[in-house]
Amino acid sequence: MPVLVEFLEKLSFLVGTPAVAGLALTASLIVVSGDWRLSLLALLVQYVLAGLLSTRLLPLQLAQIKIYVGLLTCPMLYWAARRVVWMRKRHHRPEDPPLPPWPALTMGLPFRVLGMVLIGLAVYALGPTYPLPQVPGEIGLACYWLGLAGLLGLILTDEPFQAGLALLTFLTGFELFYAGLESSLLATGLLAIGHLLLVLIVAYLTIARGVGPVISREASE
Amino acid sequence: MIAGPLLLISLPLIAAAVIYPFRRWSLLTATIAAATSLFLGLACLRLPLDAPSTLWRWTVQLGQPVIVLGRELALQPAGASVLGFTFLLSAVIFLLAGVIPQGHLFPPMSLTVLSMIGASILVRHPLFTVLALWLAVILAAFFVQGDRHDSVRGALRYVTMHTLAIAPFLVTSWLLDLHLENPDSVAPLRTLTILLTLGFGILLAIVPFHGWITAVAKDAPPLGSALLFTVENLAVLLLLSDLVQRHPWLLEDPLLLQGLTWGGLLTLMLGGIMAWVQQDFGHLLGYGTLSDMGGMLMALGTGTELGMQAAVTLILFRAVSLVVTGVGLSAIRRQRSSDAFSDMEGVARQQPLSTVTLILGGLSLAGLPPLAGFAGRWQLLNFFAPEHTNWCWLIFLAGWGVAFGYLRGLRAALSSPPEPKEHTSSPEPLISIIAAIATITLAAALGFNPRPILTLTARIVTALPMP
Repeated sequence: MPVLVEFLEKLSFLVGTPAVAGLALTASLIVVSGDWRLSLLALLVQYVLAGLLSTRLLPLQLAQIKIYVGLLTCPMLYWAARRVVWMRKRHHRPEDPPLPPWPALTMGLPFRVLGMVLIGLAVYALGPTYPLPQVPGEIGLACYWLGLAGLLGLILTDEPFQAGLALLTFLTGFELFYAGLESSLLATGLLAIGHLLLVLIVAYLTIARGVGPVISREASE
Repeated sequence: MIAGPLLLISLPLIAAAVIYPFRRWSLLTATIAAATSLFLGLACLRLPLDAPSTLWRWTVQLGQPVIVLGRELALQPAGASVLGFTFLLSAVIFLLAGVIPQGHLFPPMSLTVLSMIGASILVRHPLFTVLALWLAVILAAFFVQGDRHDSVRGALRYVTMHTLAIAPFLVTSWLLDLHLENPDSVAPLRTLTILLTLGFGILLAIVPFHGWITAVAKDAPPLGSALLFTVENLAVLLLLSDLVQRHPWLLEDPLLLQGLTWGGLLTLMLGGIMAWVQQDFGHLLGYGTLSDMGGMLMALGTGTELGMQAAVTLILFRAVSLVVTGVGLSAIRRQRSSDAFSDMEGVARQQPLSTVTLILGGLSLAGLPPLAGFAGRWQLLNFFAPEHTNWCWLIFLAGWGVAFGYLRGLRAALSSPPEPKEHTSSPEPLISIIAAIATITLAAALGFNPRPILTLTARIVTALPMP
């Protein structure tokens, strides 16, 4: 798609340290933020930045696949979250006991911020000591950051939406690293298919979890 | 002429696409899925690999390799036996799912899972094997979740743990390719074995990566659990065997086999102890399976052909136990919408045959004679008896832990409710009775005459010599 190529060329000034810093910021936002809209926006930016960094490791056509996956991912997750919010609003009645709140991160904000600070320290220590093979140092740092932030996010919650975003963050970090190791079309394509299926199951679980209380209430009525 | 790999991958996918629009009609979809699986299972076990065969108007050669996007897909003798068993087991499970529904998504999604599992066994490269397995797991998560809204833990943990597992495998695959291209290079053996131990540790649910097994057992439809716990184990076993056959030098570092042995021992003990104290049949099924998997891992960790034989035997007999207990558990969950011991009051009176099936299946999973699971456990005990008598005691005790858990469940089912409730008086459906009798007969028959399974085990192990 020529539009995307032009878009990537316009953003090429970001490839390098700005993209790495952006990835650190977006991954931190996904882990720290309790607002689903903000988390989703951070995920979208994360996909674009990871795609931009992939252009240094993969042919442009293959790097584009990663951005397309991101562009497909975010609307699917947005639709799932929106549907949950809409269903809950539709079934909100003041006379009934309130529905359980929209699933949020279970640990408090200070704890999550502290967790991200520790992740930062771990990346600072791991990056130079155990540099990842076949990828430039700064991309290695981004991979470490995304991977560890994703793991932290998975530890902090068992709600499908937030845990799903954390899992996708981990996977994005790993794919970025793996792009330096393997550049075959089949492997990239299968990873992209798996990534999209993963998003689909996260959306499915988000809806199942989010509308569960509504359905229970309807069943009891 | 149709090449076997294409048939084995595409036919389940086509069948899944055909039945998906009719997924609300459980009996129809399950019957079509069962017929497809039965056909493919018999084809794998009966047709020769090296000569063309005629099926109706088509000529099929199962062993003919095909190249798809530059990668060779080929059916090897071990793969044919494993896939044959997989498809036959699926046919039985689909038939049972027709009479005791396991969710609308179960038949179509299971067929896509079988197709991906088939691909993972047929493709001859660890990178693509793992990716196909990952796709199978994600697709399976849809029927693990099914239509339920009260919990998403099983599906989420299943997908999360397997997604984390692909990372070490993909890096391992790259390192192995690097070594093949340049054999003189010093292979980072320790790095490779650490990555492999981590990856297999997650896929084989070794403690502390075991959480997904119990979560899936609790949330998934019971027959779906039976399918997943068997089929995935077999595919992972083939992957391990393939890796060590191609790269025997991997075993120079004892970490991998030691990890399997000691991790297996820990898993076996944890499964036995935790099964003892469970308060619902879902988690009990998970810990019972975990305990059995621990025994399998210990056998596998010896790295011998006899160990491999004991491991495969355990998996195949476990499948039978899981199907039997799954039938009972499904029937009870349908009536009660719960499997907690606290909700089991009066179940034994209301659903006597389902209760018997559930408990007998559980006791078979625990390895008690004269049920099917005993044959697998006996082989394991025989294998370890000469050199590791203490381990035999642990295996025996772990089995009793699982059995005790089921006996506690039986006591809850036998207890009478304080006052009769309306739902306790509804009779057990005839179709559940037939399914229960059929599966109990199967478990007992295989307990008294385990030869069919042992023959299949020998066929698989002969084709999978350990280096």
